[in-house]
Amino acid sequence: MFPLELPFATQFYLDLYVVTFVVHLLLMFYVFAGTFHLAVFGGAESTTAAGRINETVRDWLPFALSAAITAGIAPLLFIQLLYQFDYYTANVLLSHRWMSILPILIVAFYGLYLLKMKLFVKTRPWLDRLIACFVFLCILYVGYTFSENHLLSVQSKTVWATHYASGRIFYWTSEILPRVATILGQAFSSTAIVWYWQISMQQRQKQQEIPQDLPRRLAYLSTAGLIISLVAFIYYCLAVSKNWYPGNSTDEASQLLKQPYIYLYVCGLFFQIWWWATIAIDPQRISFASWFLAGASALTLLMGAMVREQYRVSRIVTDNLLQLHQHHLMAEGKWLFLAFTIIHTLLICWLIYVTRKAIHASVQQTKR
Amino acid sequence: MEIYPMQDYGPAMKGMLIGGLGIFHVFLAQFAIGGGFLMAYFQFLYQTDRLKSGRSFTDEYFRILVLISFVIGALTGVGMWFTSIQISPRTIGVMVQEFHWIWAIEWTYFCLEIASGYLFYRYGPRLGNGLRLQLLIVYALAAWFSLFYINGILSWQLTPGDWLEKHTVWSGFFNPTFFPSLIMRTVTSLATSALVACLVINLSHYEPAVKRELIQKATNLLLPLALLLPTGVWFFSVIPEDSREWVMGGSIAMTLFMTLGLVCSLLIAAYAFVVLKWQKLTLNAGTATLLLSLAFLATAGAEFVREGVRKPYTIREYLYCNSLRQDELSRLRQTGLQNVDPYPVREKFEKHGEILTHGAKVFRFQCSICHTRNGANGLASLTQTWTDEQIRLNVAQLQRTKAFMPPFAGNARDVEALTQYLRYLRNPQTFEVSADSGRADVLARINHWLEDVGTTPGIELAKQH
Ligand code: HEC
Ligand code: HEM
Repeated sequence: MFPLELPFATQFYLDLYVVTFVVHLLLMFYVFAGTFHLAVFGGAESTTAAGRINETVRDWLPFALSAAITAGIAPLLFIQLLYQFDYYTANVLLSHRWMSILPILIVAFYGLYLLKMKLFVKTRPWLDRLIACFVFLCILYVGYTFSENHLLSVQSKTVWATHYASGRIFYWTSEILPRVATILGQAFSSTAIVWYWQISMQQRQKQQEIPQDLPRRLAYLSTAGLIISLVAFIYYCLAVSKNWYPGNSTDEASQLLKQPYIYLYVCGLFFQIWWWATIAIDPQRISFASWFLAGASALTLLMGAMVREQYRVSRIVTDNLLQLHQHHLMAEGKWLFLAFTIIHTLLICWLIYVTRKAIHASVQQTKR
Repeated sequence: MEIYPMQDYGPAMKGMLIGGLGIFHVFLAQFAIGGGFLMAYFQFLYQTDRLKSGRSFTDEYFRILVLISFVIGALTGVGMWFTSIQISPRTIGVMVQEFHWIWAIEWTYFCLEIASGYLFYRYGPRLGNGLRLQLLIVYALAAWFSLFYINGILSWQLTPGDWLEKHTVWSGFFNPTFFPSLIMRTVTSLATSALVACLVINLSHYEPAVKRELIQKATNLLLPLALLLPTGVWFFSVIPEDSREWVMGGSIAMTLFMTLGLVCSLLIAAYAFVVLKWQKLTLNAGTATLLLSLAFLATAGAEFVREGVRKPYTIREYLYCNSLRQDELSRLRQTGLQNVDPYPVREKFEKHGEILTHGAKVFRFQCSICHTRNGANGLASLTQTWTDEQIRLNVAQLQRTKAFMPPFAGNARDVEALTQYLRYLRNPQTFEVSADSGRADVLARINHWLEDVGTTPGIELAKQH
């Protein structure tokens, strides 16, 4: 349990939200970092680390996007219970703009399939790169829109009314860009570890050597991302403190600082930067560091998500809402949900296990 | 009462937006759900030596399913949610509050569906038969169970049944139309997947004899269409009487959509039984496409009817289409709508700004969910020839005007403001406020009409007559 000094029911939904949200983030990060890599380093030789990363992400990106979207549905459900009115209002105010993420994602999806099929890699490499850049921009647009919607949802009714009257479908505040950079800057550190694991597995399965420059490359990408995220976060805090609502300000700031999350979050960022830096110095370390870096990045995200919720709760949760949560929690079906979560998780793990075993056996057979 | 901002979609009715997207989504979902069973069936036939090309065809079919259903199907699903929020946040809010655990359970099935589906897509061609069949069965069941759960929530909107008294999840979930609509949706899913299969088979590289064999097997999944008629009768026998009447001619648009759905389904079924099974003829790509288009139209008809027959409610006897509860509506009769909606009006009025702004807000708040100004179901043309008194009376007694409209929520001044706004819409350039507008005797008359009809919904009034 993450205590935010809230009543049990609210806390309960909040925890479900936060955990499922972090899973969504991790998968979304893979998509973001992967399309970024293909867009920026798409021309790399296939024997280099960059080339191997490209090969791997090409193959896995469509699935990763599918998984990110599926994982997004659970927090989408819980957020509607937690914040109801404010969340819906932001959705409606952004109107077509909010809805536009869906056709954009469909286009991005097919772009990823084109990249996976490598239709143009040999014949028209520039077109391949163009598609990669385009898909990357689509993904960035979707992420940006989620932040925009989030920030609009925590504004006052006066801001909403003004926004509505203007008929605009973009919402702008100085918080958006630093927020997007804070979140997406962390995409590389968690994804880099997944890339490392995937490429290590290819070594076992297909006897493909791990490129020597891989750990360093991952370390550079991750460190750069984390530093951008950290700087953006500091800038964000400054921007927010200027935007504090009059009359509300001291309360919100002290709320954030009273709890340990913000400190743990920043420590988590530093911890990761430090370890990636040591990997850059001594690449051998990656094989054992990958495990606790994975843990550290997930925990940092969890802490970040708590800070994020503290900020929102302090702005929009009312007593009325807390009572509603209490009421909703009585609805039947939670135990069934819990049971199915366990059963289906086990079932999925089992299916992966038996499939991998079967594939492994068939690989062994063809070798012989 | 929490008031949401409302967007304006010009000439498009809001119901058209959600219905339009719904058709695509439902059709793709049917393809995915039926597809799971079709592939499991083909794989089983292959394993039991009854269909040689069963295995290779399954792989081909799954690739198409992943490319279409996992992408557009999944995102139109999220799209349905987002569109519902755009159109009626209050409705989706109640649905989520009441049934969030059902939705959460459905989500665990999505995860299972995606996981088993991608395992099959990625590794299926290299796996042994036993494991392939297992993956396909898990996939098919996961997909079908997501239908099972969402069907409970959607059918509850039309027939909440015991839920209205008990307010428990399961009393709403297993409502009177749960089973008939589950059966109908399952049957249509199987048929859709069979028709898609026929198209894919025709476009594939198999020998003609193999194609014939595959088509014979695929069209077996059209046979359950025979259940459509009895379950349809079952469905119509348990929906509310007034809804049944809309469909049977009370609302001509509903009747036409219903007929469209029915005729298309019957044509497909007749073709399946007579041509494919009895005459043992096969199906070429052209005919498959034609039948698939009919299936699409049938889905379209059914979705429009589903959206339409709930009127005047989005949740039967609980929430009106314009997001008002009965008690709130009655309260607004007393307090009036002035100052209720905090969102400004975007239209600019050159003259008579005050009353027109008021009227525009009443329109937006109460009518815009089903009507536009000048477009589809536009109020300007519906009231084109009416006198002022006629508008006042018909708006004040809205539920008498048409039983599928909610009672008017507001006081005499709101009726009057709306009346002037409707007149303004006819011809904005030359508009002048009626000479008698706001006069005490006019307001008293409107008040009398309002009190005369009260806030009893029209469908109740119809029963009393
Ligand atoms: C639940 C949806 C719904 C709502 C809300 C609603 N209407 Fe209607 N209304 C309809 C439908 C459906 C028709 C039938 C249209 C037709 O017959 O072409 C209709 C018909 C009408 C007509 C024409 C009646 C006739 O006999 O020709 C008028 C006038 C009208 N509505 C006014 C209003 C006004 C004013 C409001 C808001 C106060 C309103 N409606 C709210 C659904 C609705
Ligand atoms: C690849 C596409 C996507 C990207 C890049 C993306 C990115 C993001 C980002 C950056 C945030 C954090 C916003 C913030 O805190 O400012 C976020 C939140 C969220 N995303 Fe996604 N997302 C994607 C797709 C989806 C989809 C399809 C869904 C729904 C099914 C979804 C559901 C959510 C939810 C519910 C939140 C929490 C919103 C909030 O708390 O305000 N995401 N996403």
